[in-house]
Amino acid sequence: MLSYIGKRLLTLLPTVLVPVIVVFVIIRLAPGDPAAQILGDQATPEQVADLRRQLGLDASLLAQFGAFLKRLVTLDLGESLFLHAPVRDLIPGYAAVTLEIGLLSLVLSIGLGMAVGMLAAFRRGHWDGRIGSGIGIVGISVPQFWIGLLLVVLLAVQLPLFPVSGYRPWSEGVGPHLQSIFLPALTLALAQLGIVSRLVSSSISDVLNEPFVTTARSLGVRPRRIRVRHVMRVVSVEILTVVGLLLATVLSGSVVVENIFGIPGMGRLLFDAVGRRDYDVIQGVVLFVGLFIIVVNLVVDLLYAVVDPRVRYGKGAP
Amino acid sequence: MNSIGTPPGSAPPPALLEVGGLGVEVVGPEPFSAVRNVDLTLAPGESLALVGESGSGKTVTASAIAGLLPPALTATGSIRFDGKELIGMPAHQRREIAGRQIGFVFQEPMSALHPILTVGKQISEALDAHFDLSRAQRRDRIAELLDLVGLGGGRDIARCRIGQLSGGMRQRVMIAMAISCRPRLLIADEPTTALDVTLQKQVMDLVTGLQRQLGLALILITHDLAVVSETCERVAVMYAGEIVETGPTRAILRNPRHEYTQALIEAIPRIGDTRRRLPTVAATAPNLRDERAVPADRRTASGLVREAPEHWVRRDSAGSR
Repeated sequence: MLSYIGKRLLTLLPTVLVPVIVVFVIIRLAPGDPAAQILGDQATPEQVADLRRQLGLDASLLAQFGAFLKRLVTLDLGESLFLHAPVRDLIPGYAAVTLEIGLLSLVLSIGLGMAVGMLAAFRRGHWDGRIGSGIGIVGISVPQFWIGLLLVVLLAVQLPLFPVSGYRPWSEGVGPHLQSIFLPALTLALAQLGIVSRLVSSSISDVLNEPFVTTARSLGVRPRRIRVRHVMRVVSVEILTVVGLLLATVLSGSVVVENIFGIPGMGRLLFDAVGRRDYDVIQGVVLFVGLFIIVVNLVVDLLYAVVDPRVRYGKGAP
Repeated sequence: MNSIGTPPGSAPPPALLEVGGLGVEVVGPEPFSAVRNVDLTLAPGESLALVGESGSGKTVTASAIAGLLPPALTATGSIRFDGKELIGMPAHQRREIAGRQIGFVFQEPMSALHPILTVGKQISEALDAHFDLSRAQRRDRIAELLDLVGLGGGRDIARCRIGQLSGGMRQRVMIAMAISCRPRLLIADEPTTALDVTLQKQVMDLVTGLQRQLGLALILITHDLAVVSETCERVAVMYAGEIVETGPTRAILRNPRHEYTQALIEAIPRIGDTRRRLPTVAATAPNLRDERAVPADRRTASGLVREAPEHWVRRDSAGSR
């Protein structure tokens, strides 16, 4: 088991480097650089060139990347030029906010998605089943910034249940804190709701055709019990496999949502860093998110073996 | 209706199952009958083999009796179990019979058993559907059932999932589930087809042993006439959705009257067989005799004609679809 985890991590490390390399190159190809940003409009080209040299931005792309890797080996992610702090120390604070909202949205989207998907599959052909599959299609089609703004209008402006924007840390009290993160999490969740519910309902339809469902019927098991105990048991295992994918979309969605709601999370940090060409922050965040997604997917794979005894990782496993 | 299943002239024993004029229609854009005019009777404790090739309607007939037809199929006619009409019975009443009165053993234990629930939990599902057992009673009953199907002792099978069991063990678990509520009728749909040849006899012996031990009536679906001769008292041969010949096993095997039955028996390989090529069953069974030639008093509503006191053969539109 341990060797399996080790092997998986080793094979996955190059996967993390790919997005980092892509981002590394693209931000340097984009017009504007940190030196120009720091010095502002008034700076002379000589001043900019000077600062570029100081920051090491005049070197070739390859040399810059070499320097980046060299620092990376010692776990040094560089320093933010605007926040004046090492990237390594910056990320945890922002990541904690994003992950908290991300987890809450994951719970919401899986819970709501299960409910809607079950409605669509078990009540197929009935009016409530049609509503269920309708929600699924709408959820897939509607962009999340629109959902977010709609929620703000409904639940923050029309019915002032939640703050319009802003983040309140735990230190300001549990109630205000949860209030401030609920709408962003709900926005992210509703964006996933379509995918999750469609997945749940198609998985249910598949499982309902399995012979073991007929067996349960032949034993006189009640339909509701067949659904809950026999069908959903298998479906929930299948849903677990997409949790890793969902988390990835939650993290990318956080860039939009954190900007709508003014949340100081990783999405916001990344967005601002791109605007300011804060290279080290951008690279650091991309690396962190990549690593995080890989670790989560690994954990999901391992959990999969726990909940589904048909899967056992061993000698023959990949 | 009652008299249809029982050929006139024979003293009808108190029947457990009486199927009369059963038809199963496939609804949809191209409707057709999967099964027509099926008459069967089964006394308590009696065993009947339903024989025929794939697609002859054996499984559909059994599914109709067990109430397991898929939504696209509807049954017409009459299925009386213990005096109660099953066709048109409300679902909740039907559920009280399913598992409790009629147990079903499926062909493929691997897919017919739940992949994640443990064996013990799956058997509990059957028990809980019909009885209100305490935890200890349930555990004892499960142990007793596993013992009964030859899975007692050694490792605790109740805690296993089917993935951890061999094919033969899985089918034993399937049988344990089917008999868990002590049904009065056991329907076994080709219970040994998915098994290794060496296991087939073991599992067949288990089924017939349990049948005698528990006094179950048995409907065995098979295409293997060799198995039938050892296990069942009566045989019904199905062809193209109809019963073409029915009677005591010995009479059918020794003196088959319908051409299709004769072809099936011809196709059984025997030790010392010198034939280089086994005969195959012809695709269509022709009419053996014109229906008008049969005196009316020897015909039944379903077109079966009495050859001997208990031996009935179809003489009308056999093979026509």
